[in-house]
Order: sequence, then C-alpha cells, then structure tokens
Amino acid sequence: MDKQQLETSFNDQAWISVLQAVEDSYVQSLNYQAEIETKNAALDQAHQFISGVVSAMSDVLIVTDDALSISQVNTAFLNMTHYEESDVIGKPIENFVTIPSKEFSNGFVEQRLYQDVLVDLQGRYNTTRLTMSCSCAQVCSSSFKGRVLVGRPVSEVLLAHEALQKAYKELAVTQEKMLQTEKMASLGRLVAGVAHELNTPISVLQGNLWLLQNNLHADMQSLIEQSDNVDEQVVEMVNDLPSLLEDSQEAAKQINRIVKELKQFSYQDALEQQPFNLSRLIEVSSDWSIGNVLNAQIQFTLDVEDALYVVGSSSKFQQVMINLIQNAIDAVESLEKPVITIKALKKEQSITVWVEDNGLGIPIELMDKIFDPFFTTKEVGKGTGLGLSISYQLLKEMNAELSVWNKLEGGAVFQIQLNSVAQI
Amino acid sequence: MSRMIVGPFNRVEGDLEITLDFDGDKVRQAEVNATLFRGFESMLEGRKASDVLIFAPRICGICSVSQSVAAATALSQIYGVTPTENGQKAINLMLANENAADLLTHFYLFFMPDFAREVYQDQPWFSEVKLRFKAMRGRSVSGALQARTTWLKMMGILAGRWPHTLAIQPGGSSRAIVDSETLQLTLLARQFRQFLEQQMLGSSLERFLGCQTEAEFLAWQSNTTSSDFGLFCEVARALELSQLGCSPGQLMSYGNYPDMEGGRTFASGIFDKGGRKILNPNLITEDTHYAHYQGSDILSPWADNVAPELDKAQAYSWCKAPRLDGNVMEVGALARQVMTQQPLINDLMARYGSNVYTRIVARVVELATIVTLVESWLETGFTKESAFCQSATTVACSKGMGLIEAARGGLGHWIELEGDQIKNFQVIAPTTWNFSPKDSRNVSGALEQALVGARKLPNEQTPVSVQHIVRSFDPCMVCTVH
Repeated sequence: MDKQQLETSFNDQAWISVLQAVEDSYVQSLNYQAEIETKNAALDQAHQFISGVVSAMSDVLIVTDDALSISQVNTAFLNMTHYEESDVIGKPIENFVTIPSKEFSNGFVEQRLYQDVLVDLQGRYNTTRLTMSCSCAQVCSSSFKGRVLVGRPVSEVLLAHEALQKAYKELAVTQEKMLQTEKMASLGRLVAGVAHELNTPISVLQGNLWLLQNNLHADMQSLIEQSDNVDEQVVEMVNDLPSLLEDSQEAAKQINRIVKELKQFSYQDALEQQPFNLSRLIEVSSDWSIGNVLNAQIQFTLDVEDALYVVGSSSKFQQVMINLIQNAIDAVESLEKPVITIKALKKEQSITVWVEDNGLGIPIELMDKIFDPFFTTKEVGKGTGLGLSISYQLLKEMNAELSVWNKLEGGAVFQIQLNSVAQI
Repeated sequence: MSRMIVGPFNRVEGDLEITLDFDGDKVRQAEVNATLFRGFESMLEGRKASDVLIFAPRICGICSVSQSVAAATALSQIYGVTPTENGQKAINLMLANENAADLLTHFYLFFMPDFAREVYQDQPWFSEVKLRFKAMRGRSVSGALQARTTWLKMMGILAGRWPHTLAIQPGGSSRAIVDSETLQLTLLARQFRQFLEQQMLGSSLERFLGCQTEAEFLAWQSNTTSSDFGLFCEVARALELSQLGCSPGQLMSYGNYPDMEGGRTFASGIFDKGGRKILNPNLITEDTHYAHYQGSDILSPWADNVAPELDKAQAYSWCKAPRLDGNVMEVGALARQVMTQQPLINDLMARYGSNVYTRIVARVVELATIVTLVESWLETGFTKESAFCQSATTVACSKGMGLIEAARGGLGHWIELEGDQIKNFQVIAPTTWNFSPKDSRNVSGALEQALVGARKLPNEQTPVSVQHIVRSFDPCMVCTVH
C-alpha cells in the first residue's frame, strides 16, 4: 500500500516539479541562447571589422604562431606574392621572409621587437623589398607567443624620395640655367662695351701707323743720305721699316674687323630692315663657329648660292646661323665621321637655308618642345635652352620660318624659309 | 557623256573598283575606290609596342617583310637602338630579296599578261606575247616562277620563312648567318642572275645597267629583241606606252637600304618640275574628305585614329588621301630610281615624265640593280666582330616613325605610346599614295589623274588601256586600306 501511495504522491508532485525543472532549464537555455547569439553577433561584427581592416591594409601583415609558422596573412601579402592563402598557412616564416644583409640574418625571425628592418618578401614569381616591423614585446599578452609582422614596400618610400630628389634637381638646373643666361647677357653687354671702347685706341693706332708709313720712312731715308757716318745697323733698321709697318697696319686692320664683327654680334641694329648679302653672312658665321671647334674631323660642306640678298637684320640672322651651326657641332662632336652641311638656294621669291648634321637626330616626342624657352637636352652649363627659342622668335620677326625634322638617313635638319628676298 | 564602273580587277592583291566618266571615248574623270576596311590600326591600340612586330606584317601576304622592316624601324626609335652592322645587312638582304621578287612577279604575272588579250590579236607581236605571257599558260611565266622560287629560298636562310617572318627586330635580325650560308646565298643569287640574263634581259646585268641614255638603251634593245623584256620594249614602242597613263610626275622616295655611313643606298627626297628636293616627313598628312572616315579633316599621322563612317555623303573610297605639304605624290620604283639619279631613268624621266612605259622600265632597272647590290653585300659578307641583333627592352622615346621603301613605294609606320601601350598606330602604304581619292581641295590622286584621257575601244566593258594604267602602278589594295 505504502508503495502504491508513494507511487501516487510521486506521480503527481514529482511530475509537476520535474516538468517545472525542465521548463526552467529550457527557459534558461533559451536565455543563454539569446545571450550567446548577441555575443556572437558582436563578435562577428568585431571580427568583420578587424578582417576588413586587415585586408584593406596596404601594408603587408603576417601573423605567426609560437613555432614561427604562419597562421594568418592579409590580402596585401597575397597580392604581392601571388600565392593563395592555402600555400602559406602553416609554413615556416623563413620560407617567405629573408634578410638581404647577412649581419642581421641570424635569429632575426625569433626577435620580438624591431623597427624598419629591410627584408625580402619571396613571392611566387618575384621578390619584393619591404621595411618590416615587429612590436610583440610591448603588447602581446602571455597567451600569445607568436609574432605579428608589418611590412611596407620600399618602392613607395623610394618613389616619394625620388620625386623629391627630381624636383630638387630640376630646381637646381633651372637655377643654373638662369645664372647662365644672366651670365651670357652680361657677357654680351661686356663685349659690346669693350668693342666700343676699343674703337678709339684702334683708330689712333691706325692713324699713327698710316702717318709713319707715309712720312717717317722717306724722312729717315733723306736723313741717312744727308749725314756721312751712320751706323750700319741703323741703315738696316730703316730699310726694314716699310715691311714692319705694313705688317702692323695689316694687324690693326684685323683688329678693326674683329671689333666690327663683335659689335655686330652684340648690338641691336640701328637700321633693322636693310638688304644684306646672306651668302657672305653664312660664310662668316660658319668660319666663326668652326674656328672654335676642338674636333677638327668635322667634314664641313657649304653649298650656298652666290649673292643671295635678303631684307632684314643681318646681325639677328647671324645670331640665328651661329646658334644653328653650334647646335649641329654639339650634335656630331662625339661621332666618328661627323658631317655638317649648310645649303642655301633661291627659288622664285623665297630663299631656303638648311643646316644638316649626321648626329642622332631629335627624339620625335621632343620635336614639339624644341623651340620652347629653357628646353635643352644638353648638360648643365653647355646650353641655356634659349638658343633655338630666340632664333625662332628672331626669324618670326623677320617673317621667316624655322622648322626642324629628322632626315630619313639619320641626323637633324633645320630649315629657314625666308620670304623677304631683296630685289636687286 | 557616259559612266562606267570597272572592277573587280583580277591579278591585283585585294579589291579595287574604278568609276570612269567618259567624254566620247576618252576618260574625263576617274574615281578610284578601295572597297575594303580592315582596321589594323585600331586593332593595335592598347597593345604592347612589340606586338606591332607580330601584327603589322599580317597586313600583307606579299610584302610582309616590308611591313616588318617599317615596324622595326619605328620601334628602333622608340627603344633607342640601331641595328648592328650585321643585323642591318641581313635586314637589307631580306628587304632586297622581297622587293626583287615583287618586281619580277609584277612583270611576269601582273603586267605582261594583259598584252595577250584577244583585243591585240592583229598585232604582229601578238602570237609571241601569247606564247610567253598568256595567264596560267605562258612559257616564260613558268620559268619566272621557278626563278622566283630559287630567289626566295634566300629568305628561308635569312629569315626562316616567308611570308611573315618574325626575324626582323628593332636591333637587327634574330637569325645569325654563318659563312657556309653566305656561300649558299651567293649561289642562289647567281642562279637568279642567270635567269635574268638569259631569259628576261638577254644580256649581262652590267651591260643593261650600263645604258646611260635613251640612245644607248635603244641600241641595247636592238641586240636583245628575243628576250622577255626586249619583247616588252617592242610592244611599248608599237602601242606608244610612253603616252599612256601620264601622271603629274611629282615623285617621292623615302630611300632604302641604310648603309654604314649613315646614308641610304637608294637616296631619299622628292622630285617635281623644280628638280630634287630634301624630304621633310613632318609635312605628311592624310586627308579624309572623300574617304569613309568621320569628319573631313586633314590629319597628321600622329593625330588619333579616325573611326570609319559608312554613310558619309561625299565619300567614295576607304582609302585616305595622303599628301606631302598638300601635294599629291607618286611613289614606286620610278620615284626611287629618279631620286637616286639612275642615269637611264633620269634621262627617260626628263623625256617622257611618269607614265606606263617609264614605270615599267624603272622596275626592271631596279630589279637588275638590286641583284648586283645583293651580290656586292654578300661579297663583303658578315663580320665576326658584330652581333646580328642587340636587344631592345626599355622605352627611350614615346614616338617612332619607320619610313622605308617596299617594292611598290614608300611605306610608313607611325607608332605612339602611352606608358608601354600603343596609343596610336598609323600606316601609310605605297598604294595609299598612288590610289588616293580626291582631297579637300578636290585634287585627284596620282592614278585618278593618270587615267584622265585614257581611251576605250568600241564595245569594251573593261578598257584594256585602263588595265595597263592601273597595273603600271603595281597596286596592293590590302596594304592600301590596312
């Protein structure tokens, strides 16, 4: 009976409490579930945030476990090495990161703290140089024994550095050019001044020489004839006088001519529109330019029609010619068989002048820039980059046209097309 | 006035159609239509510069080496390299080989068969011409084909294969030639010389090239009447070919075969009534007023590629109109030989100008000259000191211009890069010059002008005179439209 009673009481009460307990634990587990889900969501968000940051990093990130095998890398790493993630996870870090300089190589990967060490990242096809940093000693908790490495490609740093360097160099070159230009300008003024100042003493010299030539000799001769005992040496000297004086006169004339040409070169013409002999001017310009050349090998040909007359400024035209010839000389100077040819011919109402060289020609992409001020391909100090732009301007003022192209045989041709032909 | 449309033409590479307006039996005006559009220029945009070496030769199956040389020349400026001495010589040999083969082919296969047409059956020379030159059957033709095969074997040695060899590079040739091969080349050249001397000319090349004036040329002809070229001379006299197909005679040559002294063996320049002048390639433009391209502008080849436009009202050709400083230019063997001052061609040009007769004689003179040039190059051989090719890898300049002479005349490639990709690729082929449509000033192209005055015989559907004139330019229509 007892047993039955017991059974009965268990049946009722016990079932109820069991059901109660089940329900409690169910509710509890539901609460846990909800809590876990919330935490999970938060964790997920945090994870997404971190992996987002990691994959968006342009720097290379490598995480290793305590055995120094790679446990995680970011997208930047994969892009740079062209490996799949599965290729690298679990592999020793030494397979991928090596030290180019030997002194640091021993035990490098063991270290926990370093900053901007140069390393090579071995990719599938290529090697990239990085500056690598690791700072685990400071932040790592005791539970994490691995390493976190962050690397940045050196090239970006170098590029920035190079751009800076280039800008600096350009600035220096420009400054040098400006100095050079100013120097040339003042040199021009100086030459003009000197030429002008030389005029007076030269005319005195020439006048005196002329007087001596015409009078002195005759006077001396008659003096010698009149006196009885003249030293033989004196007689000889007097006899030599005419030729000595003639040489001096010649030399003075030479100086006079040089001064005139210097003046012509450096002065602005008073009368700009004058007919002048272009053929003669080309000859003089080439004599001047060629005289200054070290490389005597240059085969220089003048093929200029006689007596071509042009209306314009002869000094400006001379400046242009000297500039073009000088450029041609610079272009061929280092060649084995340098050739420069100047041609000029008249056709109907226009005259064309060509200055040709057999150098390397002008790179086609520079062809448009060649008449720009300050554009030069010569070394600093050799050219100001102004010659051609000034020549272009001067010719434009004279209603003439300057153009350039590369000969198909090689070398450059500068062509001057003159339309103001003098009617003579 | 009547109108006639002639075309398609057989024995011409590519498609050609000509519209002729007649005054009575004389052509009053001609419009030349290149009927294809191919698009090689657009195809190469955005590709790597070196791809030009692969693509460009595919423009043409008969002058692919010329396309290669033009492309390599343009690229040599871009990469800042020049071919090595041996490389340049090998390239010269290849180009000379192809050009000579084309000149021979033109004479035997393209030009002479027209005189075997029934329209000439009453002429005293007809039976002989028919026997030798009748298309597919002519006796001389098979001999010429054999000689051509022998001659082109040289290309096998020099370039691996023909057409579309890839041996020609900006820095030289990728195929090095050893002494035993030089000897082989010499022997092949000698066999070709033998054909020319025995079959084509009937005299030694030297005697033929020794003719300085027309008088000496006529005397030479009287001793070589039985040769193939002698037969042409007889036909030319009988039909007065020197009065047929006269063009304005403004000639242009880029010059060919660079030598080691920095010149070109055939000189460059232009020739018109005022004599010879230096050539400024920067003055080359293309006029699209009457061509099926958008707009109607005069563009430098450096300007961007213009897109095709089918429904352009005034357009009648797919060929642009190249002009030099606005002038129509004629290119080809005649232009080359005049510019290089070949004595006989100089004399004939002064007497007759540019016409069917002078164009053919200039080709044969050039053919003989090339063989002697090839022999002289082979005689000095290749040096042991120079490589055949230097590599070209870094871009030194973003623009390159390759102007060379194919058999049919001046061929130009213009390449401009942006970064390492092609931004603009332009081609102006020989027949683009000769067969150009009118330009915006309404000036007709060289062939269009040469056709004016040509006569048709009664009931002729494709006037034989037009056939002669068209073929005297040796057109290559596939290159023209590229």
